[in-house]
This record gives sequence, C-alpha cells and structure tokens, in this order.
Amino acid sequence: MTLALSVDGLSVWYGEERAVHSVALEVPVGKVLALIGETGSGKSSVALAAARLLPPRARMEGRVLVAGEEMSALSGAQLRRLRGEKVGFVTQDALAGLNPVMRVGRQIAEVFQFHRNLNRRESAARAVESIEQVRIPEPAAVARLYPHQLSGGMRQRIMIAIALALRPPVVIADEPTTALDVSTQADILRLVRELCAELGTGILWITHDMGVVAEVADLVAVMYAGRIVEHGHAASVFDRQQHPYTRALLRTLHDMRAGQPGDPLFQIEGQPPSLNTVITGCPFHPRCPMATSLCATEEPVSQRFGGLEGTESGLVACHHLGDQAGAMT
Amino acid sequence: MSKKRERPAGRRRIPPTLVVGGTILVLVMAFALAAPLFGNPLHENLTNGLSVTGMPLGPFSKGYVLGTDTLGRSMLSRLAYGARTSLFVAFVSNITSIGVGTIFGLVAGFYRGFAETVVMRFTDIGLALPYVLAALVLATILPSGITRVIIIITALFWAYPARLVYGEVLRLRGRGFVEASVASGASGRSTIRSHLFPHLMPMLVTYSPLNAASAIFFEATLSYLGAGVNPPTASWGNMISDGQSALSIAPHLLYEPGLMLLVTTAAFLLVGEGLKVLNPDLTRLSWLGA
Amino acid sequence: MARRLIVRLFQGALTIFGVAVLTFLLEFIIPGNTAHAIAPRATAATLREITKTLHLNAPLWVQFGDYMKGLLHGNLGESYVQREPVSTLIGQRLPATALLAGAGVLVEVVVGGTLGIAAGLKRWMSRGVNAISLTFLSIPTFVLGLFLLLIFGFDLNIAPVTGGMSFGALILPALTLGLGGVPWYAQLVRDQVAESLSSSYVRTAIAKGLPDRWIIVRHVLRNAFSPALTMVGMDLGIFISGVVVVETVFGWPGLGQLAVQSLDSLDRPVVMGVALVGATGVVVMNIVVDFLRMYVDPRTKLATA
Repeated sequence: MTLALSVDGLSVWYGEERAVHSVALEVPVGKVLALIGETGSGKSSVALAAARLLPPRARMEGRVLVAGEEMSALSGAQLRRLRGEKVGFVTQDALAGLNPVMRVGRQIAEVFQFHRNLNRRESAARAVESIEQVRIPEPAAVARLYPHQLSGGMRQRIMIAIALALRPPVVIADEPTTALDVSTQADILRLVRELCAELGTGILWITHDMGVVAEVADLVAVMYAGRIVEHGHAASVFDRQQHPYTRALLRTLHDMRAGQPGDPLFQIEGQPPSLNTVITGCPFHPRCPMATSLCATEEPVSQRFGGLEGTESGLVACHHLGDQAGAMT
Repeated sequence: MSKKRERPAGRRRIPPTLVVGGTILVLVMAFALAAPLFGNPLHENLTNGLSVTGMPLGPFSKGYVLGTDTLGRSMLSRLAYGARTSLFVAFVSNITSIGVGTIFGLVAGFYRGFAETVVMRFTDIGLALPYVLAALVLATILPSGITRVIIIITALFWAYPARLVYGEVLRLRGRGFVEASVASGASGRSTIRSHLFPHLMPMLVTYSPLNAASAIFFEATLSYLGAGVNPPTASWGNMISDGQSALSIAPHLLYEPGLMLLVTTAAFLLVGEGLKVLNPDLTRLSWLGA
Repeated sequence: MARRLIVRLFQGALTIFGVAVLTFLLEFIIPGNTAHAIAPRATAATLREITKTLHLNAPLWVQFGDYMKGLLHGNLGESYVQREPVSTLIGQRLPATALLAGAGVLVEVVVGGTLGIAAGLKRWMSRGVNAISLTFLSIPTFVLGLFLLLIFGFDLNIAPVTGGMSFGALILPALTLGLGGVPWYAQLVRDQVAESLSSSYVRTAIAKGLPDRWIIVRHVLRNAFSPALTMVGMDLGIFISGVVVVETVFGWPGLGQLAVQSLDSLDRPVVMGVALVGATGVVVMNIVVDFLRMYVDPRTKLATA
C-alpha cells in the first residue's frame, strides 16, 4: 500500500498550550481519510500542520511525509516549491478563502504561472481546464467571474480546482462542506470521491459531521483532546465501534437519522477538556461510561485489532478493548 | 489560567493615555485661569519690549520669560489668554455642535420618513463641504469676534455627530428598544429621553474630546486666515499669523503658540483614545472617519 | 453601470444645487444692501443705477432665476474689488490649485501608504506609526507649513521662501498638504494590511506556493487599495480645506489664496464663487473616486445594482 500522506509523532503548541499530542496518520494513494472530532479537538491544527500552514505563533514537532518526501523539515523556497505541487489545501469557507478582488480564473492561473513557468495566456487556458475538471459548465465564462458572483457550491468547486490544479498526491480539506447546504454538500462529496479515484489523490478530510464521514471516507481517524483515539478502515470503525467515544459519536448520528420527532437526542455527558487542562490517564475518562480507576491514572496506548492488514484492521487507544466485544450489540 | 482571570478586572484600570492627556489638559486649564497673573496681554511696550533694532525679544529676556511679539507684548501673557480663547471655543462649540448634531440625528433616526431624508441629505452636503471655504463664506457675513468662530464651527461640525447618532439610533432600533417602549404606550419624546439618550451618552462622551481637538484646530486655522478671532484679542492662531513676518528672526513667535496647539490637541486626542479603551464597545468609533 | 452613473450625476447635481441655493441666500438676503457693498462711496443716483441694472429690486425668485441662469452659463458674478468676472479670476488660479492638490494627494498616498504597509507587515513599526500619527494629527496644517518653511526655507536654505510657482516652490507646499493626511492613510492601510495578512485568502495563496512578494502585491495590497480609495473620496472636503491653508502659508497663487485675499477686502462674490467651485470639485471627484473604486473592487458593483 503506497502512502500519499504519512504523519508521525505530530504535536502542535500554541504558546504554552498543546493542541495536538503526537498524532500519527496514514492516507493511502487514491483514498479519503476522514479525521473527525468535536470543535477544539485539534483536528484543524492537524490539517494546518500537515499542510505546513500553521500561523507563525504556533510550534510543531513530528514528521510529515508527502509521497515519500519529508515536508516537515523544509522551509523557504523549498517548501514553497512543494506547496500546490505536492499538497493542495481546501478551506472551510470558500468565500473567505478566495481573494474577493481577483477573478477566479486568475486565482487558479497563478498556480500554473509559478509552478509551470507558463505565461499569462497559457496559464489562463490551463485554469479553464481546471474549472472544467471540477464539473462546472461554461468554464471559460466562469473563469472571468469574481468569487461573490458564484454560488457557495461553485466557490467550493473553485477551491477544489485550485487545490487539484497541479494534480498533487495529497489534498488536505478543512471542513470543506460545513458552510454548504445539504444537497450542495452531497454534490461536492460525490465530486471529491470521483476526482480522488480518477487522479489517485489521497485526501485528508477534516470534519465534525459523522454523516459526511459515512458518505466519503475510506478510512477514519477519531480525534479527542488532541489525540487520535481510533484509526482504521471506515467499515471496521463503523461496524465494530471499538472506542466508547466513537460509539457515542455514532449514536448521535443514528439518533438524528433514525429517531422519531420528539425523541430525546442522545448527548455525550460533560464537555471536552479545554487546551490548558492537565490530563492524566485517558482523556475521555471523565465522560466515559466504561471508565475504571485504571483509566483515570494511565493513558492507554494504541492497540491493533482485527489482524495486521485488510479492511478489518485498525488501532484503538482504550483500556477496555477486550471487554467491548461483549459489551456491544 | 490565573492570568486570564485577572484580565477583565485589569481592564477597569484607567488607561495611561487618559492619565497623561488629562494631566496635560488640567495644566493647560490652570495656565488659562492664571492668565491675569502674567500681565496685560495688550500692553505694547515699544521701549523695553523690543530690541534696539525694534525686533521682538527672544525667550528668557529680562522681564519676559517667553519673549515678546512684534509689538513688544508679553508672549507669556498672550499665550495664557490664547489658551482661554482656545479652551472657551472648544468648550462652547463642543456643546453646540454635538447638541445640534444629536438633535438632528435623533430626529432622523427616530421619526424616519421625510425627516430622515431631508436631514440625512443635509448631513451629506455638510460632510462634503470644503470646511475652510465654507467658513470663509460665513466669515464674510458674520461680524467678527469669538461668537463668529463658535457659530462657524457649529454650522460646520454638526454633521458628523449627526451621522454618528443617526447610525446609533438605527442600531438601537434594530435591537427592539424603541418599538418596545412605544408599544408600551410611551410618547416619542419620553422614549427618546429615557430609552435612546442614555445609550447615546457613552458614544457622545467618547466623541467629544475628538470634536474639541478639531474645534481648537479649526479656531486656530480660522484665526490664522483672518476669519476667526481678530487681533488684538489673543488666539494662538492669530499670534502665529502676526509673527509670520518676523519668522526668520524671531522663530519663537511660531514655536511657542505652535507647541501650545500641539500639546493641547494631543492631550484631547489622548483623552479620546483613553475613553475609547474604557468603552470597548466603541472601538468601531475610530476617528479615522465614519 | 450607465444607470449608476446617471444616478450619481443626479445626486451630485442636487448637492451642487443645494450649495448654490445656500450661497445665493447668503449673498442676497443676509447682508443687507448689495448696491452699497458694490460701490461703498457712490452717490444715491449711482446706487439706484446699480440696483436697476442688477435687478436688485426684483422679487427674490426672479433674482434667484437670474442667478441660476448665470451659473449655468458659467457666470459667477463680478468681483467688487477687481471689477472682473469671478469666473475669469477663478480660471486664472485653477491650474495652480489643481497642481498643488495633485502633488499633495501623491505625497499623502505614497508616504501614508508606505508607512501603513510597513506597519502592517512588521509589528514593531506599528508603534512608530502610532507616534507619528499622533504628532501629525496634533499639528494644524498652517503650523506644520510654517515649521517646514522655517527649517527648510530659512535655516537650511534649500527651498524657496517666497511665493510663486515653480517646481522647487511646489515641494514644501505639497509636503505640508500631504503630511497632514499621512496619519489617516497610514492607519487605514496598516489595519487593512494586517487584516488581509490574517485572512483566509492569503492562507490559500500561501498554500498555492506563491512567493511572498507576489502575495503581498497581488493579494494583500490589492485588497487594501479599495478602502484607501474610499478614503480619498471621503477626505476631499478636508483636503480642499488644507489646500486653502497651504496656499496662504506659502503664497501659492491658487484659489485658496484668492479666497483669503478676497475675505480681507470683503469681496463676497469671489469668496462665494471659490466656495461653489470647491464644492463642485468635491462632488465631481467623489463621482470619479466612486467609479474608480468599482473598477478596483468588483464587489461594490453588486452592492448598488
């Protein structure tokens, strides 16, 4: 299995506060890895760190390999050369993510101008091709429009076109569908799936929406309090629900989809810990129904389950892994 | 963690800009009040007040700490009386211009409709006027004196507070203040008095030092151009105008009133900045313009 | 686009009409006997003659009609003192004022913009800009002008001291005029640059792998340009006031000096004429700025459509 993106031992600090605790992730070529977590779980910090787009006040540690090339050690011109070329980035709000005073065609063409040394006319032609690729009709006309003249879905397609312009092996998408309505969201999800398979791009997809994960993901990583608590194939994560937190998240999704009007929605008790709380033991133990005294004192290490390879495998960080098969169903 | 907790309490502290600006203002006011102690500002001492060649005396001359002007009058005394002029104009025109502006802004924002259209159209014209030219026009008509300056400043300075008040009233309306009061049977006037006006006060208080600074500026400029306070009444502006002819020989005729202007305006601006810090809601009231 | 132009022209015409009404009222109603003002030492017979030829006895609205008709033909009346049409006097002075104003805008935008960009890009520059802003905001234009005149004209002797028009003579007035506006532009541009730098679209540009210099010029500065332009428009009334003051300080033979000199001789029609021309200038420039802004910032088109 060749990897498009591999992150290892990644930690992120904002000043004294540590947002990400040695996270490891792997995105295979042509697959979508959904990184899911609540607000403040550190998932966006992982995305920004993997794309080397953290704000200057943040500090990161760990390794980021993109198509086998190490990004984490680079800076300056070398890093600039790899940006766009090896990693594409899609923001949450495309209206804010696109320059309001520049025609969208031009915003794509810039990429070709710098990375392919094309002149203005050639890069403009390539930009139109990029727009066509994200299934926008009349690409040449759209290229001449400004972001505010496009619908939300169109704008997000333009963002995707920018990210995919140079066919990078990896695209990192930070909640790209959160700002969209449900039907547009479905279109974008379908488009991403298709392009991903077509171009062999590996995608790291950040989201807080379990529904989106179910639609789009080949692999899932669940984040809680800056740590990955479960990481595996979507099918196995969904079917086996090894970690109590994953189970709680899936329960909320299930309640929303299948529940009757008037039924109380399932809620996870308590609040996720804030960045500056000192955590001992398992970060989820104060809210976990299965917590024992062990959970409060010792942080669980990730254990592999379901064999070493194949769609049944994964990693879970929970002391009660063994008990859960019985506790389930 | 503990540091964060302290911050809201710390915000209550009086900002240093307010302390510095306020102190300077108190000193300038004391200087103005003490003006009679520094002698007669109109006494033209053509024998001892001028050099043998008939030139103004520089600072630290015998009997004249800050020197004399071209007519041998004491600069110290004239500066003090000039401070009276500046502060008086600033104080009175501040009340009149903000008062007129507030009334127009309230009327436009509260009664809407035709009144709104007319008032705001006039406000636009008022904001588009080239101030100094308009002031010159008014100066050709009004009799000279300090009242003229106050009338001119009021006529030209009401538009900006009117726009501020109007915007604020619309914002308060948007929060349902007015409708709630009117629905409960209150009259328009009492709604304005008891529901709108109190909410406008912090904004007006924050705006007034900036307005005062502009008024001092404008008085000096008009007096310099001959459209403001005319000699022999002392004003920092007409002192500079008087001294202009002897500038190269007696630069203190520029430096002294110029420095007074700079320090006084800066003090008002600092107070304004300080008040803005105390009213965090009002940070959008940037004096960079509306 | 065409519709917007028509609307703006109509609004502008309305504003100028309003100013014209105000000047008419001031000129013909408040001051009392106009004939006497024209010829203070004339005999009663001459005064009657003047009153008759100028229709000063006609009803107000007839006089107003005449006044407006005159304005439409570019007739701003006649100077009491110089016995020449006001329009001629203004025509002679207009180029000098336009030159000074243009040079002043250049100084304020270039110096203010540069300081603002520097302060926006480098945090430590920001405090410096605050200090410079407070200083320049606290010095009235005429004091600044005289300071510069004293330092560069008399002490260092590198700039001409007396009035008149030449390139050398333009430097100090343009500098005075421009420096007065520098704090406004510096602060505005700084805030815009800082906001733009922390924006999501700049992050997108970085993710594209574009060079920093290109990002600053093409993305950051282009976004700061539109608000700066808006300010040029809003600032015009104050700016023209600055022109009047600076012309007086430096003896620059423009409209402002004409107006101030006419004030001394109570030559009312000239002062009124200059004020009317000034207001028209503000209105016209505002329309120009409005359309320039539409070109720079495409979003403004939508806002009014």
